[in-house]
Order: sequence, then structure tokens, then C-alpha cells
Amino acid sequence: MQAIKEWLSRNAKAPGILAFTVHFPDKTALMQKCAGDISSEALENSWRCVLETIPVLRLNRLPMGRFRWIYQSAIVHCESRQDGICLGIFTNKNPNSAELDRLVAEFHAL
Amino acid sequence: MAQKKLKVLFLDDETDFLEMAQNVMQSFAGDSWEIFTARNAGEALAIIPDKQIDLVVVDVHMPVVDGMQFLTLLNRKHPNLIKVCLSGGAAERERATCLSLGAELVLDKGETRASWQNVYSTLNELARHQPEEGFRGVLRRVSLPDVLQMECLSRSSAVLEISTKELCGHIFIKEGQIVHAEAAERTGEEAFNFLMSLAGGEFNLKPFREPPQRTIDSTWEFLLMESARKRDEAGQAIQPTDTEIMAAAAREAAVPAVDTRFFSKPPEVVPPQPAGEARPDIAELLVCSVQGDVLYEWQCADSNARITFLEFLSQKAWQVALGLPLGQFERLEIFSPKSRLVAELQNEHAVFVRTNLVAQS
Repeated sequence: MQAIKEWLSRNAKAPGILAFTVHFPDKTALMQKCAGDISSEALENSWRCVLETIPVLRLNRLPMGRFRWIYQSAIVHCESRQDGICLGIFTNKNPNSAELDRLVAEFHAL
Repeated sequence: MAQKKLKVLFLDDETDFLEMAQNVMQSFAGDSWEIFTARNAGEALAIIPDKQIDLVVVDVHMPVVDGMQFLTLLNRKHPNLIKVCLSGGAAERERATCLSLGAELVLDKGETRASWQNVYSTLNELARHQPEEGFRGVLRRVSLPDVLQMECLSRSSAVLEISTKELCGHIFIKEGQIVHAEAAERTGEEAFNFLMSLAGGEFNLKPFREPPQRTIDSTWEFLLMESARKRDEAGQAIQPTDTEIMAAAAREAAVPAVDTRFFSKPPEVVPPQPAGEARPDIAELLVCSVQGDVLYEWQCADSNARITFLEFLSQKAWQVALGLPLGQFERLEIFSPKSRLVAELQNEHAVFVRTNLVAQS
């Protein structure tokens, strides 16, 4: 967890990122806000709702993998690791895809 | 301006729990909530329209009609009602089922005052901040057995009029019991089973009037089971399913394979694939209206499940954005090594597309 916490802090100023969220299999979570206009409570609620989708997808036998919730002004990316740790990246609508790929690759390598 | 008093109904088969929940919640809410309780689905279905309930909190585990069956009934009869499940440790599959059946949340029953405070705050926030428009609260096409079940469970009195081009029949329901049926020359259970076996037509609920005679004594549960058994024996559906009706209509109308009228812009089913790796092959496609009618489907084995998923998504998409500067939801995309899924919600309709990635030869 410590390594992920440090990684989140290091990337808090990554361009186009609004927030990071991480869910661990023991149901603990980490949050890193990168934009000032996001409340912790709203972010926590939002991430919980994103995670609630996973069992419903499983129940419906729908593909599981990388998700993107696409909104008018932002995108919520969700990426899972083999060990069950889940990463959420809240970005603006046009994130730098190279930067996003780097973050995802680093998350998997941590 | 004073805030409207929230009308909250708790449904649980345990009287002690209901009493405790009512007392604890009332202590948190003060005058801002009016709390009602029901011990079974029938009581709840009677209270909901009578008291104009805003939020229903349903116990997952109940005898006869459990929380999940009750959610299905509520979705059909009161699609805009906010539904939350309360459970004493539901398994993941149960939680997923509740969510996919329209529960906005599945909360654990509180064990301490602090955890009840948390339940109260969550319910209050949920009920106070509901979207006013969008693809949610889909009203499904309700089947004849569904209507009968709902009317009987809520102990209503009504006359169900069923009409086809050839005939008009009636089923009389008095205080939740089916007391008479008539269809042309037939009366009683024979008429009931005949009406339930019709493969098409329309039905309407009319205000109750006394039947000319009482011809049915069996319980509604028995009658519905018996008619379903007879249908199975006859090897024919009571009614064609929504999918069958709409798929047939779509075929007749010769709707093109992917009708781009349903998309505000071309659907982004998959990101461009590098040449020589894999190509997307559409595995299933469904377009439905905001009312939950299938406008077009292709290779969709269970349209109803897909519509339920789209309903779930519309609820979750709104909840994900609650309090965050995300804007209006457009679509969910899922990428797995072998397939892709896009579920797009628009004001008037929703689209579900699943593609498989096929290796390029």
C-alpha cells in the first residue's frame, strides 16, 4: 500500500488528471485529489459506485477488463490488477493518452 | 422554503427490526422524514401509492416474496420510486442481483448507532438528490401475469379487460382475489385460462364493478401457476416476449443492421485496432427506448437482461457523477483482451453493443 501511496503522490500533478482512487481487496481505499473543485465525499461515493458495477458485470457474464465511464466533461478510467487492486483515474475529457498509458503501466508494475 | 418531508417505507418480515429501524431513523431524521413500515410485499404495495412513498428500503431476505422479487415488481409498477436494499450480510451475487434489479444501493443493516447514522445519511442524500430527467426509471412493458400478480398482492379491486381483434374478455379482481372471468361463451377458470393463453392483444385495468356472478374460488397463486402449467403443456407462450414482438416488428420494418438514426454520432464500438492483430465482430446489439421497448436487437439472447443492465447503468452513471464536475453521462466502454462492450445512454434511447475480437487471417 505504501508504494501505491507514494506513487499517487508523485503523480498528483500529472496533466489532465482530476483524481486517483485505489481499491484494495481488503476493501480499504486510497484517494488522491488533483483538482481543487472535487470533494472527498463525492469522490468516495463516485468510486464506490464504479466498483459496484463490477459484480453486476460478472453476474451478467459481460466482459471484464479496462473500463471507461465517459461523461460530457470527464472520463473515469478503471483498471484492475491480477492481485485484485483496482485503480480509478478521473481525467478531463481529452486526457493525454501517452500519459495515461504510462500511469497504467506503472500501476501494473508497482 | 421548508424542505418537503420525505416519505420512507421500510419492508422487512421481522417486526422487531421494523420497530427498531423506525425508532432509530426517526431519531436521526426528526420531522424531515415520515416513516412507514410493512411486513410483507402485499402491505408495501398497498402503502406505496396510498402514502405516496418517496423511498423504499427493502430487506433482501424475506419469505414468500423476497427482496429481489419485490424489486422486480416495484420496477414494473413504480419505476421512478427510489429503492434501496438492506441486508444482514448479503453475498456478492445477491448484492449484484439487487443492484441490477434497480436497487440504487445495497446497505448492510447497522449494528451500532454510528452505523445506523451512516445508513440514515446515505438514504437521505440519495432521496434528496435525484435526477429529474434522463434514462432512468424505465417503465417496462408489463405482462398480463405481472399485472394480475401486482393487483392481487396489493389487494386491489379492479377489472382487467383483455381484448383482441376477435373478442373482449374480463377478469374481475376483488380485494386481491380473482373472483370471476368471462370471455365470449366461457366463464370461470376456463375463461381465465383461455385469456391467459392468448398470444397477443391488449389489456387495460378498469375500475372495479361487481361481476354478474362469482365463478372462481381458487386462489390467485394457484390460478397463475395453473395457467403457466397449461401454457407449458400447450407449448406456447402466454404472450410473445418483448423481444419476440419487437424483433418481429423490426424484421417486418426491415430496419437496417445498424440504424445510425439511433446514434447522435457514429458509435465508437472499439478503438482502432492495429492492422493484422484482430478485428471487431459484433456479437450482439440492442437498442431500446426510454420506456424499455426493444427498438432493434440482433443476436441478443436475453434482451430483458440487457435492458435491466442499461437501467442499472443509468442509475450508477448518475451516482458516479453526483457532486463531481463530470457532466452528463455518455457511455460506458469496457475493453477486455477478447471482447469489447459499449453501453450508450441518450435521452430517448439506449444502445448496447458487444463485440468479439477476431484474429485477422
